[in-house]
Amino acid sequence: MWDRYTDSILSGREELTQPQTIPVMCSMCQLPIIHPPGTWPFPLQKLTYRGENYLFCSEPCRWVFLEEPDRYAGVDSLDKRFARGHIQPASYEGALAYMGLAPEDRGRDATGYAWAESFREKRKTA
Amino acid sequence: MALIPLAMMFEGDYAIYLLPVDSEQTISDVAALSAEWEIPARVLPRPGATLRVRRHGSENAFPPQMKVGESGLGFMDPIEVYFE
Repeated sequence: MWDRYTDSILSGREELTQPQTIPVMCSMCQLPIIHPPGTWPFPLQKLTYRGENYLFCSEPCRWVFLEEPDRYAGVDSLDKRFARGHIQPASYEGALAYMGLAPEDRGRDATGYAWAESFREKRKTA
Repeated sequence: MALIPLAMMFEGDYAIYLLPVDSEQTISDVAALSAEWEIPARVLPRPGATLRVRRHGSENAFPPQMKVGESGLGFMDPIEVYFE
């Protein structure tokens, strides 16, 4: 993954480091569901409750949900709000605006991608 | 025509992404759209490999020309897009 990001930065394609869509969030902790690189297929924790799909980042989050399912069922995470059309415009930019993140708030790499430049010479000699 | 948002996992990536597709699109379209977003930004291409799509947890890929609306996939169903 970082190899791809480095390639994009060094080739002047910073826009490729931005997601084209939003990540799927855990239905409990609301954090993006990720897994360690190298694990495939992804051991996803999921549940269908009252006809609705719920995805979780981990077994504990799934367990917490099941302790009080009626409390948590129907509470849409950001990705579900997006999927239902509640966020407009229906784009990555629209999702960021929905969260109140103006362009000046989003930030950029703290080092100005200096870390990527350190790989430029290494790649020339590799 | 109906919009069906899917939870897409692409082989080689570490996250799951929301992939909105139309019920009239084919599984091949789903793979192509996923690849458009993932390659080359996040995942290395694999020359000579074919992208396949299957429901998460299934061993069998959907036929490429099957329409999404015929696949049984629904709101936020997780799918795997992988190289074969």
